Amino acid sequence: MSPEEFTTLIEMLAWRAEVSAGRVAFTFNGTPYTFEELWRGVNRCAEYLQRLSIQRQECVLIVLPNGAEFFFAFYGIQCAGGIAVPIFPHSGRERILAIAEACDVRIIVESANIPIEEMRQIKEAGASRGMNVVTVGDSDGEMEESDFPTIQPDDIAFIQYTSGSTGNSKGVMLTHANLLTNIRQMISGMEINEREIFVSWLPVYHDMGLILKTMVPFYMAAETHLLSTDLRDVRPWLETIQACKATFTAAPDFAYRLVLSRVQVHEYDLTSLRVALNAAEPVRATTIREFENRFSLKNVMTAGYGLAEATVGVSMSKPGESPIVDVRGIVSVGKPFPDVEVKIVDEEIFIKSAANCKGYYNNASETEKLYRGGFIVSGDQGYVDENGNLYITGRKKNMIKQLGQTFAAQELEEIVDSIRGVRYSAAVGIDRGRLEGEQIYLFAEMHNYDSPKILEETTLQIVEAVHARLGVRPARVMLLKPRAIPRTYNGKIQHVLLKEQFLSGKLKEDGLVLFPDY
Amino acid sequence: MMSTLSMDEIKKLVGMQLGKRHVNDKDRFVEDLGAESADVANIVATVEEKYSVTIKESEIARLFTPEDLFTLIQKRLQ
Repeated sequence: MSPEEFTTLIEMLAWRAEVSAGRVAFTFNGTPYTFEELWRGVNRCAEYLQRLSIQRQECVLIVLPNGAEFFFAFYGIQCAGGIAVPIFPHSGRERILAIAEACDVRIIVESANIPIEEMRQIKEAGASRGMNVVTVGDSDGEMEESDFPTIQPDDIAFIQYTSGSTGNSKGVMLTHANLLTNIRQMISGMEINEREIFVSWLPVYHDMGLILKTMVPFYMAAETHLLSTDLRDVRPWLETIQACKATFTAAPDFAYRLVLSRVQVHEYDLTSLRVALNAAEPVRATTIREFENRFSLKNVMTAGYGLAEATVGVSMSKPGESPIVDVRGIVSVGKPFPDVEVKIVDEEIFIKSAANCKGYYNNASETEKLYRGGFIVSGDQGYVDENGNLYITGRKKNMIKQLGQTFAAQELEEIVDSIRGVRYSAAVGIDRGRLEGEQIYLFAEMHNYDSPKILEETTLQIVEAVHARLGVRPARVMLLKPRAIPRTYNGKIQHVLLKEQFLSGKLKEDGLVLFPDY
Repeated sequence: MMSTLSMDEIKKLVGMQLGKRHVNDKDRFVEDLGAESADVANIVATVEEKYSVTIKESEIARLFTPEDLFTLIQKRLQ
């Protein structure tokens, strides 16, 4: 067998454990794990899940940060025939349970490193809904001889949850065939070979970190070094690139901006890098220029585009070539990968690829809207120039991207609308040119605004509710007088106009802002 | 709009930003109040707007509590 013949991820890991047994599959914060150790951890988890009577294609939730345990659980679930559902581990409990319910989860894999009291609460909340909360450590002990089911290429390997409005969550179903297709597309399109050295501090519970930075290296048995994701400290990421002479790293634009704000010229030697992929957020030409200047790099930062519905990677600018920037200053995300077809319909990007997902889990109505004539409707706007280079110009759907995570405006608005005293609300993504990039701004019209106490309390409740459901907090909550949010004649919120009125100070000038006074 | 600076004002602003009703002078943003780095950045942005001051990225890295924030702005306003 050779990698080109893998038909499932489980086949890939089993084969690697056989032919590359003693080879390091990955290091995590410096600790190496061989393919043999990885496979043993995966089998242990799979065997434990069988003891819990896991069914074929049953969803199992993973609430784990970066680390070896994540991979044991992720592939253990698949090995036992189930579907892995990794989610952002800092998600509020409400979001965790909402996703668990949306995919009929019976088993939740939690980290053993959370406070005992919190674990007790999670177990209790799970138990009251018939869910069993376990940790990877629970699978330790004597292993029984077990027969694992044969995994098929069209089995769903995992579900990537993206944002959707309340009660309408969108879990992108990715099969083993989808994943292997996109892995091969990226290897070819990004000119990756087995001598590549990957360094990543991206979260493994999210597609770019998971598929590009771990599945691709596992596929090729290429060196990969993973770190904990910690935005407060960019240095371990740079130190590891330097120490391991990394050739390939990836991050969203804001992470590179963070580096620029914290690190001085030539503090690190990053010249081993062949590719520093900038993706998952709009790519700024200034980031590319300043990052390359700061570390004396040339044509190393590439711009990429992708979306969960097409597995992950769709296109990337060519490594080793100068970035292509159009007259408006938009950086091209390059040509689509091999066997990925992109067409533009009414300014919107449509994608056709064997890596296109099977739809959204348990959500036929959203799945139907996703496809048109064999293409995925991306929701992103863009154009292709005469040389076939793709440019992303905006978003058709009303989405807010905060630090690499995507939120539907509607989802946020539903949360705010449910707060007592709020009569109507609007959520807008605003990038004020600061380091942290686009952030969530919430605007809420109040029924009653006589007392400053009520305004403060409402603000607190909005922040709390958003954090509990989505695990993030808005950059700002503005409480407004009734009818302050601009609407069209048929009642649709005019998000762009609202944003302009806020940024220009017009909302305040017109006396429409109740709270706060800044 | 410029406001008069007080420790209580700062604590209230931090509380509003993080959705916390009770904030103490020495509560650490991340460890005690559960803030993410983006939240700290947003607190700083709000403070900058409210008091018309600018805080450098290198200074943000040294802000751990409402008290630190108060001291920094106080110095800036003098």
